[in-house]
Amino acid sequence: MKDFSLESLFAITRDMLGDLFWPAIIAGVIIALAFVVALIRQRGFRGPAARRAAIIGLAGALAAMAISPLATQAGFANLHGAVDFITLALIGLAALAGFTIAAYAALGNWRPA
Amino acid sequence: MNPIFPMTLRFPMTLRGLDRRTFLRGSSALAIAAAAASHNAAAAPVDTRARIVIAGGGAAGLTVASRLARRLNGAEIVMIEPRMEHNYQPGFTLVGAGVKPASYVKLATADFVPSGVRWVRESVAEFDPAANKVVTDKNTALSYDFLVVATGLVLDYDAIEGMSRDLIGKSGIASVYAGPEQAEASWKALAQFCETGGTGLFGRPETEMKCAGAPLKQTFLADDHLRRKGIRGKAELIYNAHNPALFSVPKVDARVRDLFARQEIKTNFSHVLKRVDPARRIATYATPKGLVEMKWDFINIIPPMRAPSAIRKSPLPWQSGAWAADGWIEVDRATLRHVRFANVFGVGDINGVPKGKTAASVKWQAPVAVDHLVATITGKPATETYNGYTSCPLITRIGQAMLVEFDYNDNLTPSFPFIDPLQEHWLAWVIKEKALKANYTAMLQGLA
Repeated sequence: MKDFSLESLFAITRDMLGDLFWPAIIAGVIIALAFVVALIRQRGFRGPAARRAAIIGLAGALAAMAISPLATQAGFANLHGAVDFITLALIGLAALAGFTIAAYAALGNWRPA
Repeated sequence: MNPIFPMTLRFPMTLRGLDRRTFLRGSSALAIAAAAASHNAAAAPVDTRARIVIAGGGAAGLTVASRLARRLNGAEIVMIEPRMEHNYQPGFTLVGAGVKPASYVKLATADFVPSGVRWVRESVAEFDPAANKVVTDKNTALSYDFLVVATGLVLDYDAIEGMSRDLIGKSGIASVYAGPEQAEASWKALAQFCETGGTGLFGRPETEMKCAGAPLKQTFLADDHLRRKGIRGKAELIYNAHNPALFSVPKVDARVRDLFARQEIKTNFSHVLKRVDPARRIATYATPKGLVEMKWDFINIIPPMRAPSAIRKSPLPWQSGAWAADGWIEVDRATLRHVRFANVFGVGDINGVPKGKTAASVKWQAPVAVDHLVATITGKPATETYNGYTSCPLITRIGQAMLVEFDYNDNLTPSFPFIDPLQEHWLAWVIKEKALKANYTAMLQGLA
């Protein structure tokens, strides 16, 4: 980890995601901006949109945690020790945040016709 | 108050005006701060007209080329490498175990040659360090001010009587080191063995080798596949160690012995593979008690490994001692500078040092060699040293690995203090299966 700089992290993330890297960055920026706009429009994280977003976030977190071992060709039986379960929990938290933000970005800006 | 979500995030009513501007200003500041933080505190490039030849364009050669191209301005850097394809060799074990396809490990050299570095698509046939010159197989003579030897090693299948590369995948013979196609053929041989069971033989050569943990990983993966197929009881797995240990680091050796016992993998010590008879599927080992024959249904063969012929014929190898016989070059273990030719450096598998024939070792060796080379140019003291760092994600089954890292003194040196290196973890497997290849390609670009 001696040479671990932001430049290294950028290069590693880019190479991990491959062709998905720039689409993911662009999508992330759009979602983040839409989330901020939703916060402004809704005057915060509130109301039915927030409730639905939180439920979607929770579902996303559970799905991410369920899929994660499978996505690495492993199973839950391979989790061993605190570090593995903490890793899974962190994946869940990241998914909770991501799905909630994305859902609120959509729901908080949606205006029925 | 909302009974379900009593706590809601509220913004002041002035959000639409004032805070949007604040948000934009804050975003700009954040971006500038991120750019400043990401800017390496590295010194400005060194102006020089030095001529630098890098012999070899594999993991070590490309990494050194990338780092030198960043550190130097005006240098003439030439990399000599005949191969268009570049293989991600740490992935061979995964291909050989059916976890990844052969395409997973195939890269292109051209994608990683840094701009400003001249790529000569030939191989070095002669090293003449006294004359500061190398000559290629096409009779191209290249003089240099500095030479970085990054040739890697050669696989000596001929040293095993009866063995040749074209046998891989046939008669139950596996050998992933030979290349992506051979790794894939090895998987087919292993898959066949896991349908029928029988006797599986594993081991390693008595020479130095790259990734000394791979033979153990392959044994564990074979065991795992047999268990997944439900026929482990119909198979006998035997690991023939070349000396009295399973692993050179005592703590890891003890752990592997425990795991082998748990997985009912038999072990023999001081068994060196000398001959194979593919038709009769009999392997012959040299042991302290004489030659021993063993029948196989599956055999994982790892060939002896040596320095390339051009190196062995040159004055660069150790002239005496443990590394002389196989031609490993004589470098100072801490600085990687050649002991007798001060303008020559070694990086990667070619070095005659106690540890460090892995991709992770290249990651730590390259900055050290580059630092000392550049220091010689500038006349300033170098600061980097190599402590023998070696990393071996020791896969114990699909889905688990031990993240073993150590130095010259057999100290365990974990990069992640929260991962016990002697325990099997899913996270270690995830790092191996998902993150290491990206780390490797970043290393080739001088970015990790």
